[in-house]
Amino acid sequence: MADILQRMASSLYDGDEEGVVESVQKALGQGMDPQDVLSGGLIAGMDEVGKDFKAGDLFVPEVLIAARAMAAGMKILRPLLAESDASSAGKCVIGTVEGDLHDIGKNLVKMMLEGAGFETVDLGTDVKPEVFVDAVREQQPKIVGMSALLTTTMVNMKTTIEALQESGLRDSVKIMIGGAPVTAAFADEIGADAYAPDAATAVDVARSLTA
Amino acid sequence: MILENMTAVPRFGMLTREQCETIHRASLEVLRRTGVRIYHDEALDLLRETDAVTIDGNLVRFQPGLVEWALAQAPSRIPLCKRGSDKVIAPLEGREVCFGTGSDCLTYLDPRTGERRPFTAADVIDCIHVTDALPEMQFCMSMGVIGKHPYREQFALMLEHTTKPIVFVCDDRADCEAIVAMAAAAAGGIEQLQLNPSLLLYSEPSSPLRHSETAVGKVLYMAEQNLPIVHSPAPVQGGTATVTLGGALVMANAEILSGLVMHQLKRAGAPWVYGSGMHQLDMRTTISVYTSPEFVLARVAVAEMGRFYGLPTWGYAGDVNSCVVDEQAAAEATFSIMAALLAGNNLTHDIGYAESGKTTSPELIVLCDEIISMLRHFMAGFSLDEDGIALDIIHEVGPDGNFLATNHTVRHCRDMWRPKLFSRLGGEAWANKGGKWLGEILREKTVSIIEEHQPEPLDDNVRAEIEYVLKNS
Repeated sequence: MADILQRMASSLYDGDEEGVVESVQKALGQGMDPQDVLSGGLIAGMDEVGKDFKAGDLFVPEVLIAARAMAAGMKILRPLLAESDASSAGKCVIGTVEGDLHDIGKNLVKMMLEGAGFETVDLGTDVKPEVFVDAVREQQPKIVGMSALLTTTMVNMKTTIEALQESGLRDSVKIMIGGAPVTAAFADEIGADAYAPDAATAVDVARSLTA
Repeated sequence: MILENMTAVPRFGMLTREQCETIHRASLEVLRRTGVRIYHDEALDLLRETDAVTIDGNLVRFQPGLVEWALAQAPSRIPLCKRGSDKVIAPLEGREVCFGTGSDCLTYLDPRTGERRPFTAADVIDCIHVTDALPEMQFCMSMGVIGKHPYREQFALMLEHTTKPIVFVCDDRADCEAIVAMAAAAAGGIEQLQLNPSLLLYSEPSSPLRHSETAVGKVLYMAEQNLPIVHSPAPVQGGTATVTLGGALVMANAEILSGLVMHQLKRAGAPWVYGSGMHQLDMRTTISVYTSPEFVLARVAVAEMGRFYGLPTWGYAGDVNSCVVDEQAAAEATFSIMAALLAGNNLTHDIGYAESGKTTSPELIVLCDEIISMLRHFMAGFSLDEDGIALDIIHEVGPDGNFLATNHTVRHCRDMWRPKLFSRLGGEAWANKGGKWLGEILREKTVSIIEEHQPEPLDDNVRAEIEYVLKNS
């Protein structure tokens, strides 16, 4: 039993999507509890990835393929876990703010969050404040994540927060922001709850916001 | 081979073939018309026997045929090996560039205190450990000068504290004999040392146009032993050579070639490194300048002339005029290392020299190691083969996607150069990690190597033989 979880964790570490799917199916076929598969296989593997990334031994693309393998495993487990609500570390709505088409950082954060067990709803790029508002109303996420690369578009983070306030939804979510020109001071200034300088930190920040 | 053709690499050249021939002919003219003084009886006898020289007292004038005969004898490659092994660490051939430290400084820049002070034996050991530990250092020179018989003691320390090839300096033939005896003990006999040389002697003619008795003694001894030597003039432009680089180069070349003739007459085919260290005289301070535009041009010329002759070449880099490891040192080190890599000086020494060759700084050696690593990646170029151009990946990802999590990116994400010491953090992360300047990081890294590095030990019986040689020679 432990063998298969170990193999699952190691396939996940290597970013071997097929390997992860295969061992998840096999573990379930042997009658293992989905919660044990999640914690003993997928999360155990991802914890190893996170540790080695922080130590500088793994690189971003390697973390991403591990996250992708994790997501593939989660796809099988999620329906089985739904009842106990253990399916997700939390739901996040994420997008690049209005006027900005840059999405690599946002995608990176999204993949890292998914790898850490968060469920994400990606609104894409050039997302207008009202689109964020609608998504919050419909999806009821715990977190809203906003990204901007340009100094000219980062001000739209403020506009979006104001729109959430006006619609009375501001207090139902935690707001985190990031992007090359964004700083912790800017986050404070516009009334966001948190800032992360990079995608790996974003996962830690999201965890602390939902804890 | 196809792969190699599809790799785009930085290319650099200065002298045309015609210009190399011009320099060669001019040097032959110096040897014919002006001649060279040789203060060594055996060498004069060897030359006299050729009937291709005219000797007037100790002034020797050469016919071109003898010089070109000698050039045709010397080998085109010298594989410098790990101590006691046949593993090549510094391949002196083609455009290979192997870096190592410099020799015999009086002043040590102590990384623990920042103090400039005279070298001690303990400092020399620390510097050898730093050289042994750093991956881009491929050979070791003594760095500091110490002791009663400094050269033998320095060599013994290097032999004990590093497995990398040793380029040594010494006084005379007797020193050479003692040093070769020690090296042979570590190599498992003189034949092994000849086949897998782990040492190389640096000696100099005395510009302008003189070979001293002791220097020729060393040249002939190394030829006799069939062990490698670089007999490299160090004329100072405006002092012991013409102020212009052209004349200094031609004269230095005449000094090298006349040395090579004696060397090959002693033993045809003995290994010889083509080298010259033209410096310019700073006309305000009379300092013999290290890294400078003129100095670096001279290094490039030496690399290209050596290749023109089909001989391994000597080089200089990471040798700065600054008295400390500061911004000037970093700029001069980077300039000279880049030039050495582009020019292809095979045996490039003096990494870690400060104060125009009077001081060695182990922190500067650590800094140069990082710079060399960075510039080696630059020199490696990039691939234009199918996988490098990756049309299929571009097509698969398309306009709206990203390349971060493709298998192609994963496969290649470790190809890129990663600094060990240089920072790539953003301002906040940098500040959170202590906001350190590079100098502080260099100091910490250097001290940690000195405190922690353990070189591969020498066998007790070899150590005993070295002790014996030191006591009895």
